[in-house]
Amino acid sequence: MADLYWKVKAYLEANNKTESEFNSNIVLQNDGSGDYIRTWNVDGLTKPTDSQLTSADTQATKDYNNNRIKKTRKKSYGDIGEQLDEIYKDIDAWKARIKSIKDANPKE
Amino acid sequence: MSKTQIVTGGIADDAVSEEHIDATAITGTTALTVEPATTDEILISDAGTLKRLDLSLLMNQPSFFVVPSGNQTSIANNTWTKLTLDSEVFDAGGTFASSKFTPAISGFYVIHFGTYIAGLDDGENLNVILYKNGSSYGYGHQSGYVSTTNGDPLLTSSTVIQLDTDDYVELYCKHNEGSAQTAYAANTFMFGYKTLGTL
Repeated sequence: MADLYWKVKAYLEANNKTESEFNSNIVLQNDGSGDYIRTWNVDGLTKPTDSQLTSADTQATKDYNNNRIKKTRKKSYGDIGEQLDEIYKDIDAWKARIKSIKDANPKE
Repeated sequence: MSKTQIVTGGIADDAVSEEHIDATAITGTTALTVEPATTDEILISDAGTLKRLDLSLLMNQPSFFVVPSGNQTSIANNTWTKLTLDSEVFDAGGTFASSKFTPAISGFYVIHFGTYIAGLDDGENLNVILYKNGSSYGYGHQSGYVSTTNGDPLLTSSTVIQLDTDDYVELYCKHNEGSAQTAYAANTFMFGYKTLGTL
């Protein structure tokens, strides 16, 4: 089961909102007894119920897993300066290396 | 040495002044070689009236230094999470309990705090902040952005906060690594003390 953040994110996106709502309109908190929604001020969208969050879990888990893959890929790509040097020297070799990383770490 | 004749019937109120007291009244007594106890007392003139003063009033107490007894795992992504501070290095005044400082004495307090989460990546951040009475207290909020892969943000900060007897202070942190992370005990702490001369 995905963390509350990923379920709320999935709920937002299912309702045509974005995770930018976390910047100032949503606060998640944990005082020692589990994660919960402390603040919800999303314009035009009500705070999700437990049932709605549970329904969002499949998408949330997918988003979470893809986020992990994205981070793994990014680390494998390496430093952007080094990549520019690779591109300058042999762009085809660079493309092949990037593709191999993507293939080895497919998104769901 | 001149001597004052004690009159019949004893010494009148307010009759003993400094010329009748030698400094040996202090220097001739046994020296206290350790920090005074909070219940020790001294004599002072309070606007011309002699009063006894409990030394606890001249000490930066309550004061405390608390740390976690172990690493705190499962700090969820993008979630303000209370840090467990369950090991007291000292708690002078006995007012720290359940990861919460409740001073019991009104005043201004200096609070220092910090935490450490390993393995954040480029563009991610760690935040650490105090909560006063369950709400974030902005002064001292520290945010550290990571600009490398596997960066290790270690944040410390400090602030001054005014507290009533039953106000309480807690320590929270937040990160956006994407998955649950661990706050390491070796670098997570909070300590504080009451200031003097600020009220």
